[in-house]
Amino acid sequence: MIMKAINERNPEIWTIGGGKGGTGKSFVLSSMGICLALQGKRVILIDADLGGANLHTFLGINKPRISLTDFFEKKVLLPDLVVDSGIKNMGLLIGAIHSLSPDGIKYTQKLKLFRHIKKLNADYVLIDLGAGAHFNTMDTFLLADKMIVVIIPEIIAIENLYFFLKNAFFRHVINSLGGHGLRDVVQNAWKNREEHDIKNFSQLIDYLKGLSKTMENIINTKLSDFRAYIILNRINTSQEIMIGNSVKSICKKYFGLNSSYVGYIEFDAVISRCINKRQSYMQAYPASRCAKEIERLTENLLEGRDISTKI
Amino acid sequence: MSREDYSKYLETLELPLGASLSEIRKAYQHLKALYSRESIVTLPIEDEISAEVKRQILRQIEEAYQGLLVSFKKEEDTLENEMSSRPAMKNYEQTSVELTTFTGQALRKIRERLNIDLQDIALSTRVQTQYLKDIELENFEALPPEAYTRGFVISYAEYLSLDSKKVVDDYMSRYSAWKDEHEKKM
Repeated sequence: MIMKAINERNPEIWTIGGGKGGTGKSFVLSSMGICLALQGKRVILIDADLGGANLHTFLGINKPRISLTDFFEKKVLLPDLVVDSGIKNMGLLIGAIHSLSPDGIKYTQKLKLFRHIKKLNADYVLIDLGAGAHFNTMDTFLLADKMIVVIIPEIIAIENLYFFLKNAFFRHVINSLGGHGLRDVVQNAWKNREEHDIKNFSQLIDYLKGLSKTMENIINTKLSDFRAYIILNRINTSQEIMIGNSVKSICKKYFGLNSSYVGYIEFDAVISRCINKRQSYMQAYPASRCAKEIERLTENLLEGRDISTKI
Repeated sequence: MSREDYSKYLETLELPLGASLSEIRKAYQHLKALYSRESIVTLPIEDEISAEVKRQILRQIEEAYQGLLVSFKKEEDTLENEMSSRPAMKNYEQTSVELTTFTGQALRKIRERLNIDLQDIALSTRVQTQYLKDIELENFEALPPEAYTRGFVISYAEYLSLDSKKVVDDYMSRYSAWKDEHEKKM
């Protein structure tokens, strides 16, 4: 009975986004998956980068023949699409949709997919999103129990992150407003922003809160249950560690958005060499500093806590 | 200070309840710099945030820091008494400029005066805590080869905002003396 109960528990879903391409999302996600799998947790990685699925490369395996296309077109069950990742306890499901453009997924199809993802038989489901802030990407991002963003210490990446988080938050609000028959309130406010003297994110939030008591309650609830987990990748100096703290502070003080800074990974040229050789870095260099940093941040994510300031 | 103020201040400085004085000081310095200087973190939203909002945030940070300092004041007073037997180091910046000899012991005193833990330095400089201890003890034997030790001392000095060149030149003169002595014996 107890075993059964455990198997029927829903997996915890982690999604990785962050707006900009090339910040190392897929590398971080596959490495965290390996960390979890090595701890004996059952993990399924989903490559939802519908445009360019390549998670398999990070694991050094060939592109699986089956993908989400079969779920949509041939009605194959989701668990049957999970292929062996080459690593014990870890499966891989790729999202390459050849015949469908990423925009072509119907709303109902999307909901069905999300429902099935939540029922996958695993402890952790890690979903890799492509770059960009398309609303399909956003909805998948928001599906998570833990929403993770990966940035690098470059101004464009940070700029994109702010944009991405603001969009994700509004999508989060809009999705719940639908149930109140208020779906268009946010768009309308933004459309008529000049009239309402709205110049930025926080003014829009304030305006929406001022509309009615109901709106205020919804926004406040959504603000309190929204939390992004920040990972700072590819740092070059120890001074750059603090960029994570800074971004977290800006999100809170300027936008009112909560986040946790779970860790950083320093630059290591060996990583791209590993990727090019289709070798998994975590397995090839388990004792490296980066591997240890990834282990630490995975642990922080599991616990839902910030990077510790003490060693 | 009321309980509400205490939690509010810590929230402003983005610290958990029960944060230490050195954590408070570090957070304050970090946030003050973040909201008063331009950086890759603030530039992308430069046009979005008015100067007034920034000033307000800085005011809140300042208020939180000053408010929290008061709650540590009592502790500090006791510390002051204990330290009165030691050479006066009333104005840290003044003193550190005037100092010319930076023995391990002197470095340790400056660090303790600033209420900074070795772990803080280790985390930021990525120099192992044990080496930092050995630097303060001038335990030259336990320190790595000269080039590394030199780098460690520079990192340590920079963390304390000391003139790292002055510190390392003085410190390494004793290290070299020891090394010569040591090699002669061999």
